[in-house]
Amino acid sequence: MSLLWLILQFLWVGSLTFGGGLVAVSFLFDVFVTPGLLTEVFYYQMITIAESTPGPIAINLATYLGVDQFGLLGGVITTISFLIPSVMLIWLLYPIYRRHNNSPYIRAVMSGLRVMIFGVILIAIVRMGLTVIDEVIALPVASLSLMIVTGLLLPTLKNRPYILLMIGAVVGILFF
Amino acid sequence: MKTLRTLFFEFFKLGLITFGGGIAMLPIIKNMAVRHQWIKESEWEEVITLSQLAPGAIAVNCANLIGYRVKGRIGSVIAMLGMVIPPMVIITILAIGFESLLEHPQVVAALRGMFIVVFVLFFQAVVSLGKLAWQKWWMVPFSLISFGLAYFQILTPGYILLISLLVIVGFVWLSRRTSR
Repeated sequence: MSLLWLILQFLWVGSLTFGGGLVAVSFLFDVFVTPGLLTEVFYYQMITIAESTPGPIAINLATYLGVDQFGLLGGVITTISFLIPSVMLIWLLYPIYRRHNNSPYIRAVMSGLRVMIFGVILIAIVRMGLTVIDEVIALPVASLSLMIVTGLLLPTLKNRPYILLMIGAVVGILFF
Repeated sequence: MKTLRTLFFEFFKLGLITFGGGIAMLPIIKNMAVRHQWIKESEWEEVITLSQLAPGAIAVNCANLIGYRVKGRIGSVIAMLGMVIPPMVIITILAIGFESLLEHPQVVAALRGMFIVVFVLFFQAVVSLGKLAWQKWWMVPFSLISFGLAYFQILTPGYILLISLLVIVGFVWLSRRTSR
């Protein structure tokens, strides 16, 4: 994995992750895990960290991968590479969008792309689900109760997910 | 100068305290931007539409647009820096210490428990996104096609979205030409 390769990957991912965080989870799996550059276990540990710290998950993943591979500067470079395409596109699109905000193109792209994006998002959740199933098979009682408790508490703790993550950490330490 | 400083610190605070990324941040960003009169309430719709239309992290795109409205490109850069510096610093510290932490079985166990919670959080997000995406029944197979192509590694997600984008734009262009 060279730094140039990493920059190019993040430029590519940054210009096509329409739909935010979960799409980035799918994209980066294909970039790093499918070719065997990172193990699935490590990738999911990274996602867990990225989701448990403040900030957008895509930014957290970019920084994490950069620092992990190339140290301090690597993190800055990957994050900037990830940001550049969307920054350029918005600067370019914004004046056009202001003049044509009722354009049928924008409406079609919004709803049409959302349907295709959802397919990509489903991959992230199905792959993660397979890992969770392994945990359920290994430790059925602890895993299932944790899932049920999280699901039940989610509506009340929607804006404070870190409480749920702390519960997860405690259950993990005690039972896994 | 004062506006730029306010822009930076307001987004810095957001970057520091908001968990869960994009969708969870949007209402907080809106309140903040309206309170400072950076945007009018009625302009918010435009900001989120464009933030979602562009690739990348939705919350960062929002910061980009609001900064741009306030002070042009400098404003954009300042607002985005404010938003991404806190998570970058936190993640960098964690990433550096992480490798040695992973040698402790308790850390690994904690992460396994947390991963299950992350899965439930993502699952709930996927359900609400699904309701938004599948507004008509005939849309379902299209999602399944993109799922299948990527899952069986026929195309990477990047190419699927790029091709879809071109097909959609081409389709609208064609239907407008023929209806004229």
